[in-house]
Order: sequence, then C-alpha cells, then structure tokens
Amino acid sequence: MDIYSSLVNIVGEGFASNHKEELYIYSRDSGAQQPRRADYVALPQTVEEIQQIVKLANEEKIPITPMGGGLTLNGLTVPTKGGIVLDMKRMDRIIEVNEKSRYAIVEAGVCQGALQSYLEKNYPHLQHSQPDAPPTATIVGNVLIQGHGHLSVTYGINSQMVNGMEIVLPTGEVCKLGSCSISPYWHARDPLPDLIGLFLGWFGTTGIVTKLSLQLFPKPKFRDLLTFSSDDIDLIPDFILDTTQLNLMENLFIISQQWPVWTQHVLYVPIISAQDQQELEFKIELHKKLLRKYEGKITLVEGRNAERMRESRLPIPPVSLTLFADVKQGGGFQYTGGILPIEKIPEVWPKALELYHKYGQPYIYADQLLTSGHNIMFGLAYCLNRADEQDTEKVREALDESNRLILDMGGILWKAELSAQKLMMERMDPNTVKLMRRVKKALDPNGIMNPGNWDA
Amino acid sequence: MAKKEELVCNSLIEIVGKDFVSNEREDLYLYSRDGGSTKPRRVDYVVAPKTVEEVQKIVILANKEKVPITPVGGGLTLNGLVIPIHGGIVLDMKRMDRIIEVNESSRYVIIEAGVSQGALISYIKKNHPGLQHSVPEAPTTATVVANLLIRGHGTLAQSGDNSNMINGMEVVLPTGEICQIGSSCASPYWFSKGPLPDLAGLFIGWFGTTGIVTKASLRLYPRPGKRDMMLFTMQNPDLIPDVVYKITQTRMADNIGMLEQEKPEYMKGFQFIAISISGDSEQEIEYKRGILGKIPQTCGDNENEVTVMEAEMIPLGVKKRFLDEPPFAAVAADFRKGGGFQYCGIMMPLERVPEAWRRGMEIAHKHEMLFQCANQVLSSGHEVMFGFNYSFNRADEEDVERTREAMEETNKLGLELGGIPWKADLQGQKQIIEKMDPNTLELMKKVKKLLDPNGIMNPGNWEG
Repeated sequence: MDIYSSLVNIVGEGFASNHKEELYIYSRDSGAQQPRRADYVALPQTVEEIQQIVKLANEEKIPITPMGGGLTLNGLTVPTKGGIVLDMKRMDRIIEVNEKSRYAIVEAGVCQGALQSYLEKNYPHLQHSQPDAPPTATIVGNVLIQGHGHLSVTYGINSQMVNGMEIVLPTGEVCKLGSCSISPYWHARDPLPDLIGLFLGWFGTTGIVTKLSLQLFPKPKFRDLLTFSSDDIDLIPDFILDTTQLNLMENLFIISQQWPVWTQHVLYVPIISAQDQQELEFKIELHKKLLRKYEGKITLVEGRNAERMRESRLPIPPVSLTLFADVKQGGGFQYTGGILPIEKIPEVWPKALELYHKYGQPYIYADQLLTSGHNIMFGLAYCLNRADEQDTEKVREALDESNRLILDMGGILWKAELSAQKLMMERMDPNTVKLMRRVKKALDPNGIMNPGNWDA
Repeated sequence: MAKKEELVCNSLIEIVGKDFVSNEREDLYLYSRDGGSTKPRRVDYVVAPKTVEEVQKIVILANKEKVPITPVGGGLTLNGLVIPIHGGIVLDMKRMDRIIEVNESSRYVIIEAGVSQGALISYIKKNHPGLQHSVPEAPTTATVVANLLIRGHGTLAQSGDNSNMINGMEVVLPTGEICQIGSSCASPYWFSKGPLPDLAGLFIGWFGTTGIVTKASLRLYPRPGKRDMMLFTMQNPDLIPDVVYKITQTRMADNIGMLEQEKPEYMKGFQFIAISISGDSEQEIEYKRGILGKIPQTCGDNENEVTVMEAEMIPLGVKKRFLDEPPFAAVAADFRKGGGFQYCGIMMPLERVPEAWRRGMEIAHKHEMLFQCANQVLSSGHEVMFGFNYSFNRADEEDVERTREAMEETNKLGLELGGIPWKADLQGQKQIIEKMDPNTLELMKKVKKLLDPNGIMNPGNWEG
C-alpha cells in the first residue's frame, strides 16, 4: 500500500491529503522563510492513530513534522525534508480541570482561545499564562517552543508551567511523564527524574506530545496598566531592577515604536492586577512612587495616550502586535526573539536601531520581561510584503544580522529558525552539541522526527 | 590491600593528592551512613576533588576500573541517597566551594557544587544585600547544588521547587566529557536555561545517576525590606484545602506552611497554617495582613472554626521556623533525643491533604510514635509537600526499625493518595517504579544507559 493510502487507512477519509492545494498551506508560514516541500498532511484524532503513523514513518523512513497552530513565524513546523505534516488540531479536547490544584489537562490541538473561553465560562477565577500570539496558537506548541506569557514575570516562562505530559516516542511507545506516570493526578512535574526536559525546546525532534497538564493561576478581577516614559535607555536596567524589587506587577513591557509618533520614547508598561479596586489603587500608588528616584528622567504618561496604551496592551492577548505586524500590508512578519541578560539592553538598543535603519524598516521595540527580572525577550521585528521576493530576501538578511547581534551580546535566540539554530550551534560548547545529538539518536534512531532541526 | 584496590587508591592519590583520598575505616565510616534510618552501607574510597579536571580524571578512572561513583554534597538527604549501594568511590564535593560570580542586574549566582547554603546566605547578605536565594529548611551545611538536584524547595516557593531556578550547569558526564548546559553553552552569561533543547532535566531528580554537576547558575530574587508571618489555627484538617486555596488565590503569601505536632502539649490537636508575607514598607505588610486576615471567617460552616492567632501569641519556635534563614527546624527534629530523624515527603495534590493527615496519624500511632507533620505549599498551590516526620533514637535498633517500617508504610500511603515521594529512599524508589507507567520506566532506563554505559554512577538508584 502506498503511504497516502496507509495514512487514509489510519485517520480516515478526509483527514489525510497529498493534494497540492492543501500541501501548499503546510509548506510555508507567515514569516520570511522560503517555502519547503510537504508530501502529506495527516490529522489524527487519537493517540493510537499517531502511534500507527509513527510506525508507518519508521517503516518507510519518512519524516514527520508535528504541528500545532503553525504560528512560530520561523518555519519550525514547515518540513525541511518533506514527508508527513502531522496537524494536531483535531485533538482538541480539554480533558479535565482540577480546580483546587489548579491545572488543566489538554490535548495537543487545544488552542489558546479555546482554553481561554473555556476557563472564562467554567472557572472564571482561574487563568493560564497566555502568549502574545493569535488565539489559534496551540497551548502545547507554545509550551514546547518554551514560549512565555502574560504571567511569566510572576511565575516563569510557560514551559515551566508543565505538570506532566503524554507523549508518543519516535519509536512508537506511548509514555506518561510527571506525576501522571504514577498517579491519577497530573499535579506535579517533580520530584521524579526529569524526563519532561527531553521534549521541551527540541522542536518536535524527540517525540510527539499528545496531552499536557498546564498549571492554572488565580485570575484577579481587576487589571490596569501604567505608562511611564523616558528618553534615557541607560536607565532601563535600573528601572527594571526597581520594579521587580517592588514585586507587585503581573507583567512588564518595554515599548518604543516609530509609529504612532507618541510612542517614540522608551515606554515602560507595567501591568497591575488585583482582587479588588482598593488593592489595585494600592499597587498603582506604589509603582508611581518609583518615579521619585528618577527626578523627571522617567515620567508618568496620562490622558489620551495612557488610554491608548490601555486599549492596546490590556487585552489578553494584546492587540497591538497584530496591528504593527501588517504595517506594510503584505501579510508577512518575522522577528528575532533575543533572550538577553538585562544589563545588555542599553548596548543592544542603538545597534538594533542601526539595523532597522539599514534595512529601511520602521523601528519597533516591544520587549517583555521574563521571570522576575532574570532576562528579557528583546525582539527585532520586521514586516514584509510576502508577494515581493526581494523584500522577503531583504528581511531574511536583516534577521540573520539581528540573530548575530543577539548572539554577540551573549543572548540566546528563541524559537530559532534553521539558519539561527546553525548560528547557535556553531558557538555552542561542542560537548553540548554532542550530548544533544546523542539524546536525539537514542530517542529517534531512524531520524524521522522533524529532521534538519537542531542538526549539527 | 587487594591489587585492584591499591591501584584505584594510588590513582586517586595521583589525581587529587594524598590528603584528599582515603580508604581508612574511620573516614569511610562517616560516609557509610546518614542521620536517617537507612542501614549503613559499604564505602571503599572517599575522594575530595578541587577542580573539574580532577572530577573528570576520577570519572575516567572509574570507567576503566568499573568502580561506582557516588557524588556527595552535604550528605543530608536523610534518605541514604548518597550512601553507595554497591560500594566504590564517594566523591565528596565540599572542596569545590567557590562562589564564582554574582550578576546583580540579571540576578544570578554561579557557584561550584560544594558551596553550602550557609556560605551562600552569608556571602549574599554581605555583598548583595538586596538579593536572596530560595533557602531550604535544612542545616546550613546542605549544599546548594545538591538541593537543586534532589528538587528541593525553599523559602521562595511560589514558582515551584528550587530546581526551577536553575539557569545553567557545568556537568561532567559519566563518560568523562565536560558539558555546559543552558545559556552558558553558547554565551558568557549564565542567565537562562533556554530557550534551547532542555538538557538540564537530564540531571535533575536523577540522584547522581546521570552525571556530576560541578557548577550551577542559580537565580537570585529581590530581598524584601520587611518580612513577617501570620498563623491560622483550626481543629479540623478537612478545612485545610479551602483555607490554603483562598490564601493562594490572593497571591499575597510568600510561603505557606502547615504543621501539627503532638508535642509540645499546647500544639496537640491543632492544625496550624503559617503564612509568611513580605513588603518594602510596614504599610505593605499591613495591607497584606488585612487581606489575608479576612480569609478565616469565610472558611468552615460555623464561626471561628478557623482563627487568626494574635501576632504576639505566635510561639517563638514557630516564628523562627518560618522567618529565620534558613528556617530553624532542628528542634522539632530531635524530639526523642536520640539524634535520629527522617521524614517521608510526599508531593500531593492539595485536596488529598486531609486524608493524608488522618492516615498519617494512624501510621505514627501504630508504630508508637508521635504524629508530627510539616508541610509546605509549593508553586502557588499546585502541590503540597506533606512531610510525615519521624524522630528516633539511633542507638536503639528497635526504634530505628520502627522508623523504617513507618517510612515504608508512609510511602505506600502517599502513592495510594496519588502523591509522589520526594527524594525517595531505595524502598520508596522501588514503590514508585512498581506503580510507574512501564514505558516511562523504559525511557528512564534508556536515558541512564545512554549517559552511563558502564553503570558507574550511583548504581542501584532508579533501577527497575
């Protein structure tokens, strides 16, 4: 039987395809990466179906690329060597919410929007940490690329919020990881030998996560934000230290944009949340007091512009990035997500500006603090006209230069595209590269899982 | 001396110098037991390296001679995790005690594996008074790195156990390679574990069976200007989940502990929930106190089922236990005046706490012991470390045996309740493995085999 028929046999008519028009969608994303070939797409609904597909792929030595929302922008779920794209979206059950221990067990296809509305309806006092991404981004995909969310300043990046997983190994076995490997409760990642790390940050090269237990958190009834403005980039690390020392905010953005004009400053936007109005005011007052130390060098933005900031940054997820992402009206957008030590911001800031100028792009800084002041996501974002190959090529060049800049600053590239992975691996401790390779080889002896990623 | 033994001994001396190797019975004695009820086990050599290159050479030697290596930090797990099971070399890390770097703006410290909690506390207090690390309820000689590797928890438990605070590591693999894990593999900064393929997990919770961590970067956190605590009391463990849930829902508590003990007499029959709070001003502390103070009246069917203890009434011992750094728990550990102490720490969902409470008491009484539990809420309420404490007289073998039986029974109870024993001793590991998804166990074995083909690293642990 040919591969296509085998896939149809496994997942049923209508859920496997080798048609050009369908494969087209899976061969590209909205970023600047060149399209790559996908040979088949399959949409399984059960773990058993996935197991059978994995078995087939091993027999036929054909690659599998698992995919959630397909929104990394960096082509991470576009196959590098053809083969099967495993679209997880049909596995969309929210299996259980444990209210007291605050976790949700979701299948791999559950998207951000689905969990958000499910919780709003059934558990209005609970929430999950949501990334700055469209609501169709999947929970599991976001966790596996070590994404962060609106609660990451308080509780760490989203991959730290994993309590457990069910996984199909590249060799076909189904495994449970975390407390659920022993207990009916999916309440803890510890205190066992950590196997979950084997699947975090590996871009699908080590297995297919089919279920995941994600921590939920109290959802305060009141939220607001403050906008502080400054023109001195050298103050950024100090001000971050001070706000995190206060330890009362939910999230912190640092924004500076060429458009609209009023955002052409360094804008600090701490998000404050509280159970009641009084608590909210109390926290806001303490944040305003921080300004005293900066004697006019950092000031409070009020009135219309403060209101605009609320409109764009208070919603979960924020709407502002989507607006910016299409300034060129060409539907293309990609960014270098540099994870940087905080003290490097003043140094990287002007260099990023030079790159924006060099490539004729409007500048945008939309940086997000991660954990309580241990590092920052410093993005260099480029929009492009996807229909214009020259424009796209230019953005690829800009991204490459941005990636090098971040690495030169001692940073690490988040959800790195192929060329960025290569750049990192060139600089990586060779023994670490070797260890990565050993782990991959042990888990995936036939090299069928999203091959080409994290390959030296 | 047998020929092989002599060869190993001489090779070790060549590597670290004669003052730092021993196979003398009196030295080995110390390494063959700990403060818990685990039966002593044989140690053949103890060696205390100073550099990562020395560790590397020892690993290469052990592979060549097929001698087990058991790395030791403070040796304070109480569960015998660093007492060799198949003899061999104990690798005492205490000489690798350098605090290498503190990064103030990205808040991390790089330390060697032998740095103790006490050394780090005092170093930070002196040089970086605005910062702190998450300190476990353990003696000051406990090492920072070992605490991370057994997935210990500490004073800052809102975002989970201390192993979540690892930014990076330097590891000597069982095959001898030195590896950088985390951002330090590609950057001069040890500021983040990712975003990279997570290799750190390969060494966390494995009890030394996958490699030897020689350096770690640990996150530091802002130190608040003021700390204080509150104490809630009740006489019905069924109320605990609701009270704790409501406390965590406010997001105002730094740390939440629970305890009950049958001695001293005034504590008997009461459950205590201790909440530590912090702020930079008295106003902030008062504010938090006000919000938390309203919780007890919303709990239970009748009024005053849960009460807030007046601040001045809180016993000093309880205060020290929750506010001192490290938390001062040693008094509670020596009830029987026999120097022996062990506890079964079960990581369980909050909703199982009342049943654990009742059945834990039954187990203690059955074994003629006092019921004493000390629990900590981890990760803002996602799990609870339920500690069933047993103190005993180490000189009294019958007493020790009773403790072993109680420990085994408590591990069983914990697993039955859906919990997982923390830093499980050998019988606890065995019980865990029996209940484990067989494919997960296979994966564990595969990982161990991959990293340690000769099975030299603390063998006998996590073996199915």
